[in-house]
Amino acid sequence: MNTYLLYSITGVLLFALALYGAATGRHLLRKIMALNIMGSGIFLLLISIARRNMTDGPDPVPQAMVLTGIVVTLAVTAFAISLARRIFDQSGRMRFSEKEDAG
Amino acid sequence: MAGDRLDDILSPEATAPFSAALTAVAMVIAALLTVAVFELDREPGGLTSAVIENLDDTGVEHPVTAVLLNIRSYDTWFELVVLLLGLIGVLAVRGGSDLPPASSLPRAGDLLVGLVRILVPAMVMVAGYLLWLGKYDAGGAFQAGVVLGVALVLLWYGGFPSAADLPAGVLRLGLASGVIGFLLVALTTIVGGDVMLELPPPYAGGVIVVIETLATVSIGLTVGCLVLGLQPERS
Repeated sequence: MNTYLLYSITGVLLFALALYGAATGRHLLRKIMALNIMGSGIFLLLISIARRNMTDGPDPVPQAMVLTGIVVTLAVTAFAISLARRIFDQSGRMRFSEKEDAG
Repeated sequence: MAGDRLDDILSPEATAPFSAALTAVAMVIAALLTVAVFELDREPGGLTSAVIENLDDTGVEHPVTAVLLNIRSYDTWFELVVLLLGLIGVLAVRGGSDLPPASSLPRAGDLLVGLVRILVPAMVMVAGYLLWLGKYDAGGAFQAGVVLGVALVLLWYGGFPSAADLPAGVLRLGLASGVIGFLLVALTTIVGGDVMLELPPPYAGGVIVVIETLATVSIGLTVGCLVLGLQPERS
């Protein structure tokens, strides 16, 4: 078990856990956090893939993709939070659910 | 009160059969992805050598910066567009009102004001250093831009003029400067060269410095405005 596999599999497990969280959670913040953790799992996987066959150093292309992805995640998260806030302002609720609640 | 809300967010909510099915689906996905990770090619290869061989022509010395600003500059250009779209979305959902100016918060405490006075100049220096460092080492427009963006947020919380206090025209030009910079480079390389965004090696270094500086400004302003745009309206 080398470091590459340890990080890659951790990334995969994070992704799967957060996928479960995003699908089962009905609270909007919970879904947004789960999406962020899914992203972190993917980033960890990409970064570890960049180091899997070190010849001239780590592969810069997956690293650049992660760098780009982090900033995009920031924008997406901000947009998702603003949508959640608007939903709360308009409906008084923070979750998708059949049952009525006060948010 | 706050504890109740946290419990509310964290409590599991799906009904039992649905939840069990999703657990199974997540476990299957985890297993398949783990197998895929084990199956990945372990022989030397990838794109490392391709990047290293062409590094001399890219105008920078760090392979990640070379990929971001030269070899795959398309990605970076459209990423700046995505950032702008995110901000436009936040502002649109906000309901058409302007970003909160510095005066919209109650007076900040002395500790915060003092901290902002010390931290923000240091953060601007760190951002400048990170921007310059991108040419040689880990660093560049993204890291520098995020530091600048957080500095803008700190300024706002401290009651100092921040992104929203800039004249509207300056703010918009600053937000779009990264995208505009890339657009100008793309148009120039279409007219003067063969392939769009293909930088001629003698000029590549200089063009990248200009683009990275513009991108830093626009990433910093966008990150700052994204956070300000999420603040509740105060009347």
